[in-house]
Amino acid sequence: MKLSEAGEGKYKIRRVKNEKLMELGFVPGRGIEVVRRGRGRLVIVIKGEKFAVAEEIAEGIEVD
Amino acid sequence: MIKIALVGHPNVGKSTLFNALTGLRQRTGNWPGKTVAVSWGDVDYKGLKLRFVDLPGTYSIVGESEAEKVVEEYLETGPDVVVVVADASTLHESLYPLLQVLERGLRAVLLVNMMDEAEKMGIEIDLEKMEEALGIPVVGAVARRGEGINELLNAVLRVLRVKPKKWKRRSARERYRFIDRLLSKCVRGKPERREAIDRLLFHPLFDLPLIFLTFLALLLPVFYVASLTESIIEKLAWLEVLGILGSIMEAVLAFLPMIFTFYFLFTVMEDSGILARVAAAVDSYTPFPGTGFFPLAVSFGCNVLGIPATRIIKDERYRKSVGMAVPFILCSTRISVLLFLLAYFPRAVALFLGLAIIFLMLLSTIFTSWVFAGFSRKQPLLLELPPLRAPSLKTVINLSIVRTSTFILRIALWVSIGAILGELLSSAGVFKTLPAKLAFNLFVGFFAKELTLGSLSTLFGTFDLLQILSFRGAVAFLLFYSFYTPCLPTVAAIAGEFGKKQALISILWSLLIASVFALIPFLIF
Repeated sequence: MKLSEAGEGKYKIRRVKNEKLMELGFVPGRGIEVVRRGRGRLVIVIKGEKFAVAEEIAEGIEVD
Repeated sequence: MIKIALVGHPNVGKSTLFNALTGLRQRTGNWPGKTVAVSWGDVDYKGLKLRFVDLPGTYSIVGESEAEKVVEEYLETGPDVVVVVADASTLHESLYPLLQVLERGLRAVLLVNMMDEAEKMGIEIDLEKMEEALGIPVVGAVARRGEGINELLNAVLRVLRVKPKKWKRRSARERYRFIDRLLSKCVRGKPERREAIDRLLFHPLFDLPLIFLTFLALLLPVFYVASLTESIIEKLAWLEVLGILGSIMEAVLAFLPMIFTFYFLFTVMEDSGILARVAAAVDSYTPFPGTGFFPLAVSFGCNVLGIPATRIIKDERYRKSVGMAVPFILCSTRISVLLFLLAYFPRAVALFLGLAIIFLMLLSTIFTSWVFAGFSRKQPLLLELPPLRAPSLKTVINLSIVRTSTFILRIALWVSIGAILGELLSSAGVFKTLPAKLAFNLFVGFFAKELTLGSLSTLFGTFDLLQILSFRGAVAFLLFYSFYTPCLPTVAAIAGEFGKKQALISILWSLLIASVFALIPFLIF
């Protein structure tokens, strides 16, 4: 599913459309945790690094 | 001279390390052709002169943003050594620039900073194993306590004697795969994250009040200190006897505590990770991207700095729209002048007016950026939230002193010019009527906002607007003064960044907005 549709919880990144996102650590195979969502944004954690991400960007990340 | 570049992600303590290395022997300037600041400082060590260059914090050293381009261009000049600074608790991310540096065939040292925080989280890092695997010196440090500095200097000298090994070029995915494999061998334990605050700050119901509280936490102590200073200055009657010199001394004495308080709190918020969170939380409510918050936040210090800082916004249309909104952010000068003038109003009225001006500032900033972005959609939010940490008091105080002293020197200069200019023109009898005096007062404020204060005292013999104007007139003056035009240096920055036409539009637009605001007291009182 798309990260933008994911509720709070832990997932694994399957596919990432944007190469620049990969430079930030959004790489397939890595675990990703959605800490908080609401108002069109998600707070996520990858390997201890925390990001605030718009749902629009999260649409380009597939997780399961 | 040995050139050493400091690179790394934002918020890994790179500037703290640079301060620990160079102390006050540092200088700052723009990278040629760019508006991103680069600092450098020299260190004498074991008979050698080492020049450290603190490059902007970036996630990648390959240029897309202005900051990344500066890092890439500097590395292309071939520094002797590159020190890659990484955060011990987020090594999985902050090692990425190291691989990019090594792939370029540069001599590198890895400095793993904030080892104390990693230790507190129960993270064990085997630096020796990491050094062995990477084939470069790896140094552990706690830069804010000055720990690991000598080890770093020794490592720099050590790596100078070694020919760098060749690294194959990798894709982003391959680099992270390498990092994950490396760290699985050298690091034990996972970073603990404090989620409670972020869960609250990004809660759909609580985010807005918390943003407001953050602004209050920044501005109320400043307001209190301004009021306290004013009551002390009132007791210094001997200042009035000194004429122009007294006016200058009064203004400097009034500014000093409030400016220091402002910079102190701002730096605390910046270093603690609060500012980044507010930027991300604000994103849902602003017509400009969350990154647009940074130039606007910097503009609280000085609008001139906010204009080049818009370059972190990649979308040119939003960059311009935020640039046009920057002059509506009350810079520390205007805040200080306003607080100084408000201190003569009854306390409850002053507080109400202060909050009303903050509200109008937010309204005009958002409205302006929205209008100049053509009412269109913004870039989606993507922002790193650094770990929440107690900032180093020493670093905060040092930075606040440097920022305050630079500012006060400027204040003293401009207030002197304003006071002398006002005295000369006033004694020449050019401005005799009240409207002419007020117009002159606002005119000199165009050159630098603090000039208003100096000339106000000279032209009217008082800072108390209520003695000069009716209550409605005094409020209208304050509202008009807050927004009427960017100061000359800001106009020059806008012209340089966006063109002369845009600078002229900025002046006319802010005059229009200020005129509308100045009508408010006549409509409601």
